[in-house]
Amino acid sequence: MRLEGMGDERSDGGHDGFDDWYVQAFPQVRGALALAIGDADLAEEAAAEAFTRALVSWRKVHALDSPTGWVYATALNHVRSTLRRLRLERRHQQRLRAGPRSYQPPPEPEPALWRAVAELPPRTREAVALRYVADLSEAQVAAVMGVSAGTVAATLHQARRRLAQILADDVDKERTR
Amino acid sequence: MSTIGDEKLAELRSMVETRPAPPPAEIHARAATLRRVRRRRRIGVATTIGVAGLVTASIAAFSPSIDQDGETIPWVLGAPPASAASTNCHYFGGPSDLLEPTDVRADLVYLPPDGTVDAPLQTVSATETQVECPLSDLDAVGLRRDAEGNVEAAISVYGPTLGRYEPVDGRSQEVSMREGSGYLLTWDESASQLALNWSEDGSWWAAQAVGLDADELLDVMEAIRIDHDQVVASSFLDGFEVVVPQSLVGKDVHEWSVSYGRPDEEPLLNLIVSSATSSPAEARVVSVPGAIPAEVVADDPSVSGFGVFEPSVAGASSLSWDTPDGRRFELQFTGDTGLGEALDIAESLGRISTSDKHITDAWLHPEY
Repeated sequence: MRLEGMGDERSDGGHDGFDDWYVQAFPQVRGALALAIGDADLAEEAAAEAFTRALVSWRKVHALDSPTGWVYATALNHVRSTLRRLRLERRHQQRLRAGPRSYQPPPEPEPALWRAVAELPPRTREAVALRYVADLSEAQVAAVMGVSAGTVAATLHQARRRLAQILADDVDKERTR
Repeated sequence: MSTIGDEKLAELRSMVETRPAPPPAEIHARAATLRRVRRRRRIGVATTIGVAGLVTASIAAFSPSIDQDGETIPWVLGAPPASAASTNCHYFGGPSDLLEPTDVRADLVYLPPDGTVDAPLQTVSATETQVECPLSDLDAVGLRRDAEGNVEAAISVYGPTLGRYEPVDGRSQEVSMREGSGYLLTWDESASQLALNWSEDGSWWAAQAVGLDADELLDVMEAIRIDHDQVVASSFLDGFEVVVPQSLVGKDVHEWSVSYGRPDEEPLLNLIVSSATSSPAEARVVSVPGAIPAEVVADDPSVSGFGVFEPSVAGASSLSWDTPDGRRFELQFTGDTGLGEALDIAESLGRISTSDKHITDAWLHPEY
């Protein structure tokens, strides 16, 4: 998939700009993936794997309009191909208390919103994370997810309504406590 | 119906962890390994014997961090973490690459018959992993069967290990053993699991057992011989059959993986077939509390083998088994699938061509 139409995010630095770009982009990629796949540890590993592959193919990736978009697509594919299996296995591990450290979203400004997004279906969560945490346009999200821009727009529209409902329910629960 | 706006959702950006990226050197090290693997594949010297044990790798990969600053290392229930996983390994096990359908080993490509799973194929992929780090410190597994052939006791011996373990949510008790002293470990959550941890000749060793009491475990451990950091299989007491895992370091493991599920949901079923394993099913009998030994006996003999069923916990169960030729099959279920249903699916698996349209439509290709 060629990720067209994204802004130039390249920078100068060691290894033809890879190191600078990586150091700057990694935290946001990791954060968006954590929200998208609902697991901070898998997100860390998927992000590292995707940046590794970006470095191996740096000449090609560096020439793309959006190296970061390529990283998101690669990381999410990696999650689908291998890390999903690890997630299932780790459910077993949880009974053994051998699971990873649990991810605690930062308390400010509104952890309820983060938790609400976590309740969305996986592909919807992915679209929200790419749009609002990775800060990609709807067209860019569509390119990363391999769907049409219309599908992304519809998915995000449904997500916003569903999130409003979840957050309203939370408020109601709080009031009745 | 109400909705929330873009501004509100943009607040998510400020909730992201601000921890810096891992040092670029780590990414460069991983990349160097990945390039090496790809070069090997291009020049065709890969010795594909497949392996196994990627499950062990994943467990080690996501185990709690090991604090070696103190005198002891926390050990949760399950296999102890591989000592190599914490040193000099840029990958958990080794780098892995997605393969094209034409590069997949035909003896790994299986599917259940149409209609077996109440969901469509979600993703299909195949990977090749070059194992660069030991995935486990497992040395040998001893099994004792009853008159009907059922496993009644099992012991896994690991070593050299990271050091002295202290059970998380459990107790350790000093015991006399092997002309010195060791520690008997028990966990509050599982009375059926025992472990020993001891030091000899400058290295730490561990043994884990089910189906034995502490005295029986000490008797077996007293008898074993360790030679050049390897347990001598013939030194297990009479009555135990011994399985010695193969080392996968330097070898290539191919893995076939399919997921069934609805497009926007977690997969209902994963099937993974690996070309080899360093984590034999016999070891999982010991390391997984509640695991049930199971025999897969299929019409297609290439699918049959000894395995382990892990009953549903937290909404997931699995059946994994090893074939005599060294391949490993695993079915992972979401939901409360029981052993009977798992065996039915396992025994129904059949070979399929990678050019089948079912597969090509759902394939995850290496280039994005």
